[in-house]
Amino acid sequence: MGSLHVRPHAVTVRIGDPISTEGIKLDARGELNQTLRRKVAESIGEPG
Amino acid sequence: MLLSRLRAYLLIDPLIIGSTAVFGFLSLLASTFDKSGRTQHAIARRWARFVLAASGARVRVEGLEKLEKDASYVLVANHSSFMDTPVVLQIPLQIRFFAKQGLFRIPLLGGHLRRAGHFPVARDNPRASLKSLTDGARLIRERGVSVLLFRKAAGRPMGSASSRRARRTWRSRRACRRCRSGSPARGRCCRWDRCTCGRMR
Repeated sequence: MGSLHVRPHAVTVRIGDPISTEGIKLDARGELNQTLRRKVAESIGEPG
Repeated sequence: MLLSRLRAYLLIDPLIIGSTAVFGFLSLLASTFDKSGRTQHAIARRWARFVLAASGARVRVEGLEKLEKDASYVLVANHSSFMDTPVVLQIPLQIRFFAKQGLFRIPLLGGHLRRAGHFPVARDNPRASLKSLTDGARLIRERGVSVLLFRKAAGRPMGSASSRRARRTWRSRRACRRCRSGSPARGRCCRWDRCTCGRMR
């Protein structure tokens, strides 16, 4: 991050399954945040 | 390695900087007659394609079939490089960004970001960030655009030691904010160096 040394590379953007927020109350935002974090971690092959 | 650095510093970087200036100027011009931000977004996508081509990046987008064409989304992406912005602009949606507030203070760039409909996020000021999030929600409802935010702990691979440290720091910062409002979580705040609670240090 932050380097000016740009190198040619192959980049893959993976779009995950949408997480529905329908019916989710404000109190459940922490849980939603955790779900989101876990899904991003899974998609990039890292432990959440 | 030397050749790679020379090519980056003498060819690719000037191309990126030059194209950013040219496309930025065009986008500024466009913002005078298009208040919706759609023209600026089209220009940004062309800029992104140019920057990626100049840097030799080959971008492949997987999972486009999961997106409905006319729906609005809140996109969250991990952030590990300056090139992430042109990369995510390859997603064919009307995207507006939540960007760190410091960028909005840069002359020309800040005004341009605002006019294009992007939102500042003050990471150390939850109240101001809440206003940005509310504005983003309003824009999604009214204009049917999607918004994108890069997740916290930028630049650190998720699950790494530095990422875990960043999350711990975030927790302490959150506790510190509670401390300011007088909640019983006060005892945990003293490790956070930005804490304004003098008694706890």
